[in-house]
Amino acid sequence: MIRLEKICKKYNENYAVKDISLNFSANETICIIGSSGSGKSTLLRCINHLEEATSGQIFINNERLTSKNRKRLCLKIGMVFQNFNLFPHLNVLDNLTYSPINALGMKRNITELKAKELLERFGLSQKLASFPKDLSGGQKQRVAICRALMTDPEIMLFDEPTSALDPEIIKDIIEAISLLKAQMTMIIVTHHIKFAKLVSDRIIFMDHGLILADHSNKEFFEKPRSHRARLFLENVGDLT
Amino acid sequence: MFEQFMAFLPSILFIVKGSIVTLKYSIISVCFGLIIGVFLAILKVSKIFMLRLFADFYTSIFRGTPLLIQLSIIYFGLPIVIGVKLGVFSAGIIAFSLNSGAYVSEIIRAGINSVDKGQFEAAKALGIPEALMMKDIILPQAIRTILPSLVNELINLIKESAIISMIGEMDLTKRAQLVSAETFNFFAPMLVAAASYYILILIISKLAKLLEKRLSK
Repeated sequence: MIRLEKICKKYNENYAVKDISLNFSANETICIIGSSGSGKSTLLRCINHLEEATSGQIFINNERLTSKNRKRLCLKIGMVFQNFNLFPHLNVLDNLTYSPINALGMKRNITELKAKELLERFGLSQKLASFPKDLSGGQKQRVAICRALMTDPEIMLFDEPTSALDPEIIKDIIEAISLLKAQMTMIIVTHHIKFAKLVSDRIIFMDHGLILADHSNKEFFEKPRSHRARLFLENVGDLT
Repeated sequence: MFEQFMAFLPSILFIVKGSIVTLKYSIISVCFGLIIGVFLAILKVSKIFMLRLFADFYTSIFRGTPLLIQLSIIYFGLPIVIGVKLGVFSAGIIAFSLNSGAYVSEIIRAGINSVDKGQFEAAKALGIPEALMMKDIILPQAIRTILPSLVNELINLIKESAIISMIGEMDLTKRAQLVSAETFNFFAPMLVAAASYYILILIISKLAKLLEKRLSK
């Protein structure tokens, strides 16, 4: 589904991501964890070309991602951000329909119907006409998820989706992600271990731009093989 | 005293009527200035070096030379170079708009930069083309922060448009000068002109405050 080959991202002389090769299969839910500055967000943002990798190649369905086909390939990729990044001057419905109607040329009535269905599925049908500033954090993030789903993506990228939320709202996001599980490939960057444990099939642990562990969920939490991963788990153990 | 005033009244009205001319120049120019400014601001934040260079060069030229000289070059100079004689009105509007565009572009550039980076990223991730993103996502958010500076620009233009009197337009300033010259009274006519400018600007400031309030809701 997605193949990364020797991805490097350099800022000045420092590597944020160094020589990473990975395969993500279809309908898999992957959590990339690690402390801040470990390069996990940078790696995620390379996948949909928000950041251009310094070297290395990205293949999506065996097609190489370039700046030319970026737009077409990235339609298959939805993205959810830490700070939601909803458009504050548009209401919830317009936030969902703006891009499909204006950028992709889809019909208004079909698009609106689809948006309403999605919002209903995520428990937001009362909020169609609300503006982002009138929503709670959890609602905003669910709207952001709906917005990313409007193009029927095969891949969803989540960049720290729970970091800006209160702990009691995180279960909203867990539920939302569970709704999508096994229907698309989801790559979730998070430093929230308990969250990662609950939603993922596979855990990738990164530190200093390198992958230190890449295991199935069960394997990672029951017998972490890498020393760094063990340390990390022990350090955050009391927070989870 | 009253008779003196009544004798002067037609002159007062004559001067005050100049407000319309002054307003005409400033409002039309600020509109064109806005169009030029938006265009230049988008060049200034573009990724292409040559476009940024052009926009910065434009701004430095129009900010770095007096408006009076710019107007003189356009009105007196251009006919010599390209053989086209512009009317007073066109020359004035062109000079004020080009000049205003340079200032407005800086205001708008700052406004665009004040919009959260996440908005650009979200637009990109959703596949919204750059032009649409600017028009529908970024600029509507920038307008709130830049409105006070834009009003400032309009106010500046109202006062600077007095320069148009130099090439013979009958604006507030020119009319006050004419009345002064006719009556050998250099105080009262200028006072009337000053009061007219002041009231114009006062009204515009109040309107802008109202608009700001509505936008911030």
